[in-house]
Amino acid sequence: MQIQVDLERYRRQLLIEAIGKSGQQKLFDAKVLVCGAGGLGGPALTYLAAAGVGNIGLCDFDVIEPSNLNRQILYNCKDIKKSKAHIAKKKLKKFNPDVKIKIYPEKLTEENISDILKNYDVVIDAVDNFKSRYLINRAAYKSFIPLVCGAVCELEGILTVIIPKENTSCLQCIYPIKPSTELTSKVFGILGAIAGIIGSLQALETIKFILGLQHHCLKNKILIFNGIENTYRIRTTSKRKNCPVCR
Amino acid sequence: MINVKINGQNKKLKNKTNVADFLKNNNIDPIGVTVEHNLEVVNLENIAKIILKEGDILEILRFVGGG
Repeated sequence: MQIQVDLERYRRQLLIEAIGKSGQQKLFDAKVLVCGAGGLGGPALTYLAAAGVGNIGLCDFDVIEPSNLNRQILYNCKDIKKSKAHIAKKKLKKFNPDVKIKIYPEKLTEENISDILKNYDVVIDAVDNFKSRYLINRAAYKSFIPLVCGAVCELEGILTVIIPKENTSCLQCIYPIKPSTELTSKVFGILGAIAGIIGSLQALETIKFILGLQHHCLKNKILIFNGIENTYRIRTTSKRKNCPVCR
Repeated sequence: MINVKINGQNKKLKNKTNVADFLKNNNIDPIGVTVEHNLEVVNLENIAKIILKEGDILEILRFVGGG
């Protein structure tokens, strides 16, 4: 589809050599699914929409709670108890009407995930629990769909990109042993600024992939951001020979 | 003195220590992390059995899963 929109909105990014008109067309044609419209999903969705990613899927079954508002920047006090997916769509459409947004206000399960994923070129994992992260990782790998994983906890954040067609390591190679029930039932602190950094980096890695810059993406690597020490450490990851997902 | 690499940084350990004690001495709760010793993932029940030796590489990755 040719861009039918006013390019003035994108003028400053069209000046970037790696984007230009052809890159903008790629962004406009791209289909990205964002799983989770919370602390990570909010900034990721916002920057994807701002960049003119033309087709965005948004999956979140939750409603907005007062305790979300320290980090979930798409919502405000008037949105309490309303559906995150519906409110996020409304806000993003106001922000950039060029973008088509399809919402899935449902929980991702073994039964529905493949049907949802198959419509997209890239998936962003911005959920808040390991059970869903493992599910998305499995389904994306099986369907050969690139996955951009981000996560935060207290003042730390991590980011990695998984490209099944390039046979890269997956989330279960990085976390082969699932966290204990004791850990997963514990409620951790999260600071909005940390989620903002990681969510923005998820949007950036996704945009790079769409533009064909996947050789620069964080594949077979994990970025570990420490907000206290202001350090970004990039560690190499490797496929595990006994990984049940990607071996 | 033993020279080891912890999370990419060179460290000197004064005494022989096992991984469980290393985590404890550094206030790291073992249930909150994945530990790799010389590129092999270590099961939590085995961390007290692994004594750190000269040149060992330890990677401690916290479970970060929030969003």
